[in-house]
This record gives sequence, C-alpha cells and structure tokens, in this order.
Amino acid sequence: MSEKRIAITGLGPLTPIGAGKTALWDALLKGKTNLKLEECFIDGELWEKFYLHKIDNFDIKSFGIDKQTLKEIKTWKEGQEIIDLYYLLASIKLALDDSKLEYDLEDNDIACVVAHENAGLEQYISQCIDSFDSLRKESSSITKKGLSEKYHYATIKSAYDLQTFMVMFHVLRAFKIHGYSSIINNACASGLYALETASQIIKSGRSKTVIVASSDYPRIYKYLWFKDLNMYSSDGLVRPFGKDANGIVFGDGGCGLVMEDLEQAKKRKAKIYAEYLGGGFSQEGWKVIYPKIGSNFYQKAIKEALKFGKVNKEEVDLVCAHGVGNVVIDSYEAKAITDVFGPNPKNPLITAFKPYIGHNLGGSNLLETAILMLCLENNLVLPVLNVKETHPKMQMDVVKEKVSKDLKTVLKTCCAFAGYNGAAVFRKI
Amino acid sequence: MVPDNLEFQLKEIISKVVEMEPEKILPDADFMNDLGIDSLKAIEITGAIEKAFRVVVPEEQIRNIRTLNQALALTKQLLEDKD
Repeated sequence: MSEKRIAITGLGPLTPIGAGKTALWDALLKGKTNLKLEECFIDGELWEKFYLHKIDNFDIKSFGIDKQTLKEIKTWKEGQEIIDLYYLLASIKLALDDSKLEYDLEDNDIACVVAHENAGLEQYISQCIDSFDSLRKESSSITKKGLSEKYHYATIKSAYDLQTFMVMFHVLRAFKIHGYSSIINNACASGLYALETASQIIKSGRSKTVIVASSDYPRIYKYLWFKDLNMYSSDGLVRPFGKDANGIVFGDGGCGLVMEDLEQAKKRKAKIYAEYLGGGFSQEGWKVIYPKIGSNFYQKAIKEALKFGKVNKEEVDLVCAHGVGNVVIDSYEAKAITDVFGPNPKNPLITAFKPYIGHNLGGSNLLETAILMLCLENNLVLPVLNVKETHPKMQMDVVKEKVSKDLKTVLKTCCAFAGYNGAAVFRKI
Repeated sequence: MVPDNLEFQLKEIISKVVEMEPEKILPDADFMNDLGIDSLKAIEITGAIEKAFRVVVPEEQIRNIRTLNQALALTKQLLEDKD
C-alpha cells in the first residue's frame, strides 16, 4: 500500500435538525432537536407509539437531483417511495456540492462506498404486509394487526439480512459514478468500515476520489425489535453515559462524505476538513445484542486506529463516542475508552451526538463523523445533551457545556451489534 | 458430561468474576437484587461459564441467569445437550 494520504473534502449531513453543514451546525449550536412521538395506526387503531428524531417535510425534488433519475427510480419501484434511498441521494448531493468537485459525467474513476444496514427494509415489510392483507381479505379471518405482528416475528431474522445491488445502482446512476463500488454492512459501525474501505481504495491507486454515504429511515419494525430487547427509551431522551440513561432513540437521516487523495485535493484547492489518518477494527464473535463484557476487543480497535494513524494517545483532543444511552453498552464503551486513555481523563474530552439527532443506526457513524468535522472546523466541542450526571461506575465524564478548544486530532469510536468494533482518527491539516 | 461438582465450579467462576466470597453466593440469591451484581457482571458471568465449560449460552437466555441455581440448571442442560 502506498503512502497516499486521504483528505475529507465534502460533507453532506441530512438530519432532523438541518440539511447541509451550515443548517446543521446552526441547529447544533442552539441545542435544537426535532423529537417527535411517532404513532402507528392500523385500520384506525393505534398499534404502537415511540419517540423518534424525525425529518419533517422531506422532499427529494428539492435537492437538485436529476429529475429523470428520480422518475426512473419511481418507475422501477412501481410508484413506491424508498425514503432511505432518497436520504442517500440527498446526502451525496449535499456532499458533492460542498466539495465543489467537478468530474466528467461520461467517464470517471470515482468510487463509491455505501454503508447501510438494511436499505428499503421498512418499506419492504410494509409492502409484504399489504400484500398479505389482500390475501387475508380474500381467504382468512386473521386481522391485519395479527398478521403484522406475526409477520414481524416471522421475518425479523431473515429480513434484516436484506441487501440489494439496486440501491447502489440507483446511487451510481444518479451521480454518474463509474468507478469501483461497494456496499458495506457492519451494523452501526458500517460508517467507520466504509471510511476505511474508501481510504484503501485511494491508497491502492484505484481511484483518487471516493464518495462515501450512508442513511437510515428507522420506523416501526426496527422499533419493535428494540422494544422487545427492552432497549428503547421510554421518554425519548438519549442520555449517553448518563446515570439515568434509559435507552436508544432512533433518528432519521443520512450523510455523504467526499474523500480524496490529499494531493489531488490540494491541487484543486479544495476545502480540506481533515485528514483521515486511519481506522482500527475488531470482531468479538460472541453475541448479537450483548457486547463481550470483560474482553479487550473494543480497546484493541481503538489502539489499532491510533497505531495505523501513527497517533500517540496524548495527541487526541476529542473522542466522539458511540454513546447510545444504554447502560450496558455505554459501560462497555466507557471501559474501553478509559482503558486506553486512563481513568477520568482530562484529555481527550469525550462527547456524543445522538441526543441531537438520534441513532441513525447504520448511518450513525458517518453522520457523527460529519459533526466531528464541524467541531474541528470551528474549534468547538459540542456538549452531550440530557446528561446531568454520568453513571457512577463509569470512570469518565462527558462534556456538558460547549468548550472552545484548539482541536487538531479527533477520534470516532463505535461498538456495534454483533460485536463489530471500530475507531477512526482524523487530524486537521 | 456433567461434572459432579458443577455447582461448586460455578460458584468459583461466579465469585471470581464478581470478586465475592463463594459462600456468599447462595443458590437462590438474586445476583442483582440480593448480591448487588450489576448487569455488566451478569453478562461477564455468561462469558466465563461458556469459556469454562465450552458451551454456548443462547443470547435470549442471558437475562434469565439471575441466580446460582438458574446458572446451574442452564449449564447442566447445555452440557447434557452437548453429550
């Protein structure tokens, strides 16, 4: 592998509190959220309700994406709206506009890496239920609610494996991307794996530009899973590492990032948010829901990121943790962070962004990386909302008020379902 | 094969994980409510049982391991299933 260096030159965050970096940063500074109570009705009867950080009034047509492409997607999907695909497209468009990248639409070697846990899943299940409902009306006395619940349990393992080349196809065709492409799925850590994959594509010399993107549109079927696991917050407030943390809250959104060979970025005088120094990864090979408490897998991923990034731990100014607001997972994460940086570290500062935008699942790490880039750009550490007191058994504190700090080197960490651990280091140039 | 001293072995394993005298771990004492063991340690106990007896505790059973007796019954079942 060559010594090529990797620059991040475009940010395209799409969140419940703002689309694009400027709107998002303004909202973050104000501590805004867009938490809504989502009520799901079936045949007029309330089925479930849960809190969600929601994107209101989303209109894909307002993002300046080629109309013919959107028409072709809709035709392919027989009129069905695939919201998480639209979030992907909107995010990439925002990132490309931000990067001011110009390229030959007919022929280019631009690569694309999409990180997604289960694109189209919510709509897929809804469509299946509607289909079964038609059957029920013809041949059975089962209620739609009964069928919905039955179908949820019947498909929860298989449908979550749903993957499709078509999501990538729609993305590539929309933006005329003709180079290497790949879909990444490592649960919530997908974004970090995607960044590393993009880095390796550039370092191998295959492409000088990689568009990395992710999204999620979590709704009732993902909620039911988390509810069954007793992991969803009852009051809608995510409290990462908090003493009174009571669970996860989903968030709509997506994020595009443009990553480039640093030399190319400098040559075209691109704005460079940071250099991607390296990532570290580990796989626990244990359970799906539970992290392997007592193991050192997460520590290993963080140390590997520092090693590949050639960064001493003393140089890290800020950690953006996964911080989901579940005591078991947060404790596991806090242990890993304090094992690496020491108990109650004064440096680096530790923050988490899910209280602002919710948990965007497979899209969470790219989205939070984009926010981390904005913190770097503005030399400002955003506080963790909703947390007055950190859990007494975690030997670390989180940032509770905005902190102005000369940020140079920052770390993003994630411990995902199914034991996917990841970390990535970035440095301001 | 289920060892004759399975309960003793489990007590040793659990006491090591939670750093507690084995004799304090009574058969029906609730790990969390009676012994003050937190949810993290309860998960760690699962990992230690798996490692010691080379069994795989099904994920959905983890939250059901709340007492020594429950751990004993589950481990016994897993060892018998292995035979």
